[in-house]
Amino acid sequence: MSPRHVILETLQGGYHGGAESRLMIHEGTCGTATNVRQEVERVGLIEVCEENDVEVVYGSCDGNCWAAPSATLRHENDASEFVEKRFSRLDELIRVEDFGVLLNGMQRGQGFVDGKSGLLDRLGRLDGSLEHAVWLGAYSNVDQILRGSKSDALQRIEDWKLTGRGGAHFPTALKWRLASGNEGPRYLVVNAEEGEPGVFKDRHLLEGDPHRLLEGILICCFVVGIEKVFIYVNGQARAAFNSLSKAVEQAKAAGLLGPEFLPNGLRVDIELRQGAGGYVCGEESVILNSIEGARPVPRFKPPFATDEGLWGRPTVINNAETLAAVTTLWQDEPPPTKLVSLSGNVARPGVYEVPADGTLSWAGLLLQAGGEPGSTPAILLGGPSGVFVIPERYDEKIKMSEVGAGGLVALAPDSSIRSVVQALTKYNLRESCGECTPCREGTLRLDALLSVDTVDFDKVTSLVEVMSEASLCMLGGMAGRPVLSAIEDFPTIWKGKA
Amino acid sequence: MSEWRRPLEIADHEMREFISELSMIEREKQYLLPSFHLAQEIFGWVPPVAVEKIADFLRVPLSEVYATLTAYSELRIAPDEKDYWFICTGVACEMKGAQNIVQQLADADEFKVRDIDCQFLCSLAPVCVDDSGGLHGRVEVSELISGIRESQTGGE
Ligand SMILES: Cc1cc2nc3c(=O)[nH]c(=O)nc-3n(C[C@H](O)[C@H](O)[C@H](O)COP(=O)(O)O)c2cc1C
Ligand code: SF4
Ligand code: FES
Repeated sequence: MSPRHVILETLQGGYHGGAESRLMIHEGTCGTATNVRQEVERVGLIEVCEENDVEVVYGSCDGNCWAAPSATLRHENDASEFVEKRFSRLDELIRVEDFGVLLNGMQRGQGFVDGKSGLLDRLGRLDGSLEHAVWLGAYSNVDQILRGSKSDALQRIEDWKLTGRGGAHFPTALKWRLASGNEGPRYLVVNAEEGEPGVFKDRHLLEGDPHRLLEGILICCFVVGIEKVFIYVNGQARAAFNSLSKAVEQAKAAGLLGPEFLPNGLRVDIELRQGAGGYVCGEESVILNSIEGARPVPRFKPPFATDEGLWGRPTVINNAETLAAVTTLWQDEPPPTKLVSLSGNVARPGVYEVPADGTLSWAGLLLQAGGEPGSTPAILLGGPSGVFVIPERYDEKIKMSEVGAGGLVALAPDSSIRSVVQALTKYNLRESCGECTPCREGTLRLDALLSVDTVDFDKVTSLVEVMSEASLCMLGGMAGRPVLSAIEDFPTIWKGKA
Repeated sequence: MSEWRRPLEIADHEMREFISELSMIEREKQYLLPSFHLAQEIFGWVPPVAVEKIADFLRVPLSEVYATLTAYSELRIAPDEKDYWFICTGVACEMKGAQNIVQQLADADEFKVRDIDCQFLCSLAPVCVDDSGGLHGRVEVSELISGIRESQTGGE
């Protein structure tokens, strides 16, 4: 048995402390914001669990944010198959006298298994130990990949057409190839800044399944030949930062980052950095400057990061979800998915997985989340840099090339599109870093042009053209997108009182 | 006059803690932002004396240190104002009646409340941030008012 196998088997074997039946209380950011601990007390859950030999564990949100405060009762057998029942908003648990009956049924195999797969698979299921993560499949792909060649791995990523999940959808395999073609040392920067309003999927991944990101990181380091990794986490995403720090420590202590586990003497050092706010601080070259200790403003491109990134060295910069998604490409029937953060006027807002092969329509997604396509005037896709998806398009399939980072807000029936657009423009104005004139002045002018009673389309259009052509980064470059989209799709709302 | 959460003078024990923690950081420019975070964690903001220490320690010109510090919206160059609660007015929260909340609180005219951009808890809209930075999801005006009232007048 190879040393790598020994490490993984030892970890797997280490997971037997857990009781067969567990109640996972979904704490994390969503649970905390809905007082899950107090709610658990209020409905007397801990006592009931004690009476029924159910172990109580605290874990993360499972992506069903709408259900918070929530808990999942899970019965797991030796083959790590389980049946589970989610208690949404803990309402159902008020009838705790039925708890024993329910549990009894589950022990006999009755119940349902949540249909989660791929990226969200382990979210809200883990007890926080590395052993449990490995038990549920973490690092099993990296094991398989490390046995193969780098070019096989790259080919796989290319075949599945994985593209960047940070918004720009650049082909991931190409980015890795470009960096590995340049002489080392090379760096990997993980973009977990997640500063685009309306997006919350990276936080969920980091809080709920940090080892999936680490597994993706190891694959990238192996393929590109990288020994130094920076993970740049949003400064306010404290829970995500803590969960990730803990996971890095666990992986290090278990030897997963060193030559005992990685081939060719590879040793990976992972350093966490915390951001300090600002939409533009998620832009890749801003992150590079920030890590170096320089002013957090964008760099001119070219040179691209794969040629000259951190300290002038070849650097891969990937969104956290991109790296996590890499790990799903080795499953039997790997359906690459894209996480979307869906909020607004739907009954079940949360994190959803959209198939990348374009088999789900906008209407389908809305329905899945308990929305009503018939009374949703538009979906805002991509926040302040986004566009509106209008009802005429709801039956179209969702294409990867258009989802950006996947922030979707279903607008309410009575909402004013015009005020939404104005609010987004004001947001861009506030967030403009001021480094280049087209954006610094342009966002100001755009806001002014939209604030008059009757908007002059020609002026808006030519201003937006200048901004998108001449801005240093895509904050300015895309600030006019929601405006043009709304002018095209809702031409009548721009006359009369602003 | 605004009320300050902390006195402008820096407490000796905080300064000692800051200096001893700072000395554990590698003396490289790349640790500028981590040093700011350290200062903000200890003092609640990044006071000028700390900025000077950081510049000295990391051997970065003071002007450059300030230029970098002031570019980050979450770093505070003055102490926090006391007691404010924040109502998120991002698009998702607006769809769930944030304006209505803001309006009702403004009408009550007794609270220190401000608007804030998206807090990335959009799935639990409407969202507010309490005076100690805690996030609350699916807030209701009545609960919010009693929460704020308790925290803003409770001590009197
Ligand atoms: C204003 C602005 C903000 C951005 N914010 C983020 C962000 O928060 N997270 C992210 O991963 N990418 C963000 N990006 C995109 C990054 O610049 C970059 O394309 C991405 O990190 C590349 O990784 P990927 O190829 O894996 O998507 C932003 C871009 C711009 C212009
Ligand atoms: S486009 Fe805007 S945010 Fe980007 S560099 Fe120019 S001023 Fe800064
Ligand atoms: S819009 Fe309020 S949390 Fe995102």
